[in-house]
Amino acid sequence: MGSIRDNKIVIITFIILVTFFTGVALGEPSKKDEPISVPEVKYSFSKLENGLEIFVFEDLNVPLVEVSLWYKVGSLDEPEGLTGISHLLEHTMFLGTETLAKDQVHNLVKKVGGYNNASTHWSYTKYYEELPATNLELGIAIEADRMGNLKINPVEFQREKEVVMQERRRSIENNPIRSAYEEIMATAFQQSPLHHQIIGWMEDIEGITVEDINAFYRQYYAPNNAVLVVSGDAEPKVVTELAKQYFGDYRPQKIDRIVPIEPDQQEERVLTIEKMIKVPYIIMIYKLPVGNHPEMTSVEFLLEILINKSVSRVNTELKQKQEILLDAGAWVSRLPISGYAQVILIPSSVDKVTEVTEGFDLELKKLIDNGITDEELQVIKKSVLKELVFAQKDLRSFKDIIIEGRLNYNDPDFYQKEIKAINDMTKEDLIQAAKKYFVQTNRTVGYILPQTN
Amino acid sequence: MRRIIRNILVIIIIFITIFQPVAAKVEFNQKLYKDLSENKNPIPYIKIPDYQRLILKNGLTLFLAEDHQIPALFINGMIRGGRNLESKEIAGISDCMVDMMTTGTQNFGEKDLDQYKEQYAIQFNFKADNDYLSFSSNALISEEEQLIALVAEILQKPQFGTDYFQRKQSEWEQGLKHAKTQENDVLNLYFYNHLMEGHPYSFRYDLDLQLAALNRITPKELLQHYQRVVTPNNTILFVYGDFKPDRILELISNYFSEWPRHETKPKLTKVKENKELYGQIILVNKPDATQAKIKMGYNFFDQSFLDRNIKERVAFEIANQIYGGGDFESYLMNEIRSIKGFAYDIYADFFNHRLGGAYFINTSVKPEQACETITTIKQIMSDLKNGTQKITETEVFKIVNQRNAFFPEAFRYNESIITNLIMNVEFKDRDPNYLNKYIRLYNTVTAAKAQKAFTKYSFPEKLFTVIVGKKEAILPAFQEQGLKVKVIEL
Repeated sequence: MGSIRDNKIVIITFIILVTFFTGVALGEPSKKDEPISVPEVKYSFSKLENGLEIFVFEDLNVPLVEVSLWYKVGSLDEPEGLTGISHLLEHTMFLGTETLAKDQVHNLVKKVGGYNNASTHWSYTKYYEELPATNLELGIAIEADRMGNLKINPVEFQREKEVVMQERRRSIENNPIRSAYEEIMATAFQQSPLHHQIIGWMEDIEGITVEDINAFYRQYYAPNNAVLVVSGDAEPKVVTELAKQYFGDYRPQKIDRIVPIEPDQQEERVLTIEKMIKVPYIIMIYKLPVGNHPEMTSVEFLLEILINKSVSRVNTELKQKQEILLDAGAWVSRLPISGYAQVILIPSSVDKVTEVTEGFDLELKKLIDNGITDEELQVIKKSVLKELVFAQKDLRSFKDIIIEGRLNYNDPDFYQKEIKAINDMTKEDLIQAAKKYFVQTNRTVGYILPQTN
Repeated sequence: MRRIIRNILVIIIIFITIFQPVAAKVEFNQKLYKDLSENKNPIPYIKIPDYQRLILKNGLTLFLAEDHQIPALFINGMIRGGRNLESKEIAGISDCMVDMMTTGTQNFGEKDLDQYKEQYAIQFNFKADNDYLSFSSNALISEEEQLIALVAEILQKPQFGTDYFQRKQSEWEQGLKHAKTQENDVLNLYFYNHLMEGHPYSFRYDLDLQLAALNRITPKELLQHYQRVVTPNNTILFVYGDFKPDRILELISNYFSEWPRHETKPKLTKVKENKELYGQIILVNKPDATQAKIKMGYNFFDQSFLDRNIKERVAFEIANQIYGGGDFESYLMNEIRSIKGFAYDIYADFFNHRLGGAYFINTSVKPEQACETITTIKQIMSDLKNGTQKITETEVFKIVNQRNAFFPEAFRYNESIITNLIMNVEFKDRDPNYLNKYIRLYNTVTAAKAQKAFTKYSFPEKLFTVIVGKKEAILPAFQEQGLKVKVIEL
């Protein structure tokens, strides 16, 4: 950090990277009009009587396995007042079970030479161990034990809450852009769980009790709300037998989910936030439909042409020609509920903020009015093809895509449909998407400006 | 009567079925986990794949390795001479130069170059490090010639006097000014500025120096710097992918053999240890900070010193991982996070470059906890150094065992093996099989060796500390402990 180039990267990439689709491709690179081809990623699937689903992705190239358990519960399932509970529960899952002492999960995994971690997302929480293949059963045992036998020591829980609050201070409150971004999202979404960030509001984290955590755990950490995924040097039959042995007697739970209804946005929302920064930011949030909506791929392609590519409309006009823009980026959050597109523009100075906003709107209008060229569409398709070819190097990365498809859309082969959508995509599809979703009444604009005092 | 008894039995059976406690077939106990966690991973051997090494007449070093897994071509490279060739007057010029080189060339204006890359789906990245410049590029094999042509163009035909140069200067300036409001950048600025005062290794963090130098970084200066550094006899190209060797050699020859060599005589100076810093604590006041960001450390050895003492170096690495490797079992994480609940993470590491190195510990805590955190970090290091805290064989075993499990994964692809080899052979004067030598060495480390190495190579008395945070919240605890803190206002 500290180099000029690094600073630029830091400026633009403070938020998680693009969720541009990926998929698997095989074989020869396409000629200009050849459809992008996608072979199916091989995996085995089985399901226990209690609803636990099991996916196994075999890869015999190195003698390692990854055992992961994905619970279909995340930030989107949190009511106001309990925001951050999924993430706090994730932390709590390392505090011990009836058998395991606090942090013993880490110790056991390390003892065999493995790594472990967990993460909380909008729609799921994932726990994983990377282990030598001979220790597959250890990973399954740990996850089964934690699913059924979590034991929460109130003193340790309180300490872990401190750690989570510290994490929030470190990652959001102490970061001017991220703390402003939190305000912008809270303005964009009123009733939707996107109103709060995954880590939750500080006052909610502080207020979560042992009883709250226990109730959340009992409700959502059930076999019928989980997917066991094993990838690496593991045989599907062996995995299924172990799963039956360790999870077989667990009972399914009735899973209730909150169904918030975000009211339609009728007009543009604008807010200005001052922070101790030197460079202004403009963050725009456009509301989008659910992640598997047929128009979502068009939205992603549109943003590549409008903003992300080095030859994008915004880069060419506002950065290179008018020299009023330092950098820009956009990406789409595809979720099992209505999601959003996020546009970040970094004007070259505070007095260019209005010009940049108007410039962006003008480029969008020009794109809608005049359309896009064949070359622009071809460039995107080519880069997608290339990504697919490159992704063949490590098919393990696809397992996440497949499992997300299962959890978010009940369709593990969703990525195949995405490729079809790309192959079928026309210029008109992108324009339609632009007209429908990228309108001012559908957006929230946050201006993050240097403090004037 | 019989019916009543039967009905009662049915009810009892139903009752037992419904209210049967939920439990897995397996009985979870410590013995189970003990049995499941027995594993000693074999010592891996990383097979060095086939490759060719050639040197062209102009001194360009070429490594070639075929990989037919996917229809793609990768060209990576390194150029001797990075930020270590900068002076104060032109601090930051390496980063500016690589940025300009990838923006446009003699034959491609900015937009043309972007269009060329997009049209052929070529990716090219270029960056500056302390001792070298490095670049990576890739394309589908169907665009092999376009990729080679682009790499040649960027390296051989830079254009610095362009209509967008002023805009670039403005971008760099804004980036540096923005960094001055970011805590990590401020932390590094004060840490490395003090530790490596006046040495080029500190320049990348010295935002003020870079800002002052910007006006002196003109297209002429950039060209001069380019001529000093970017020459074929300074450059290593690594080409791998799905290619036919004859075809690739032909293309490389066509595009690179006319690149004129130019002898360079870099003047390099080693980092001087700054003994005045021993034990000092500096607090950079940032009124809007909600955290105390902490960096502690000291000057450390350069790469050649540690290579001459490689057995101790390897033992020290393992000992340091036990001390502050960042995982939950490391002493620092255990104390600062698990027991005290102060931090989300804390880790200790070091780097050793050609002209010097640094040892550092990073963490971030609530302002009121900064003093206790710092004293705890120092105490744990002292206890380990003087033997009050003993490293155990189990601790060493776990780290060695983990490395043995994951080294094959880390070097799963030929590309990573050969990249590692190039770095070792071309930049660090090590033998081509250094990787396997290193694996064998860490497998010989014992608790006694690790302890001895940590005693020899750790210096708690030298720890220099920089804190970035709100002084009103941080200082009281230090004042209570009678610890002197120098406050700097941003």
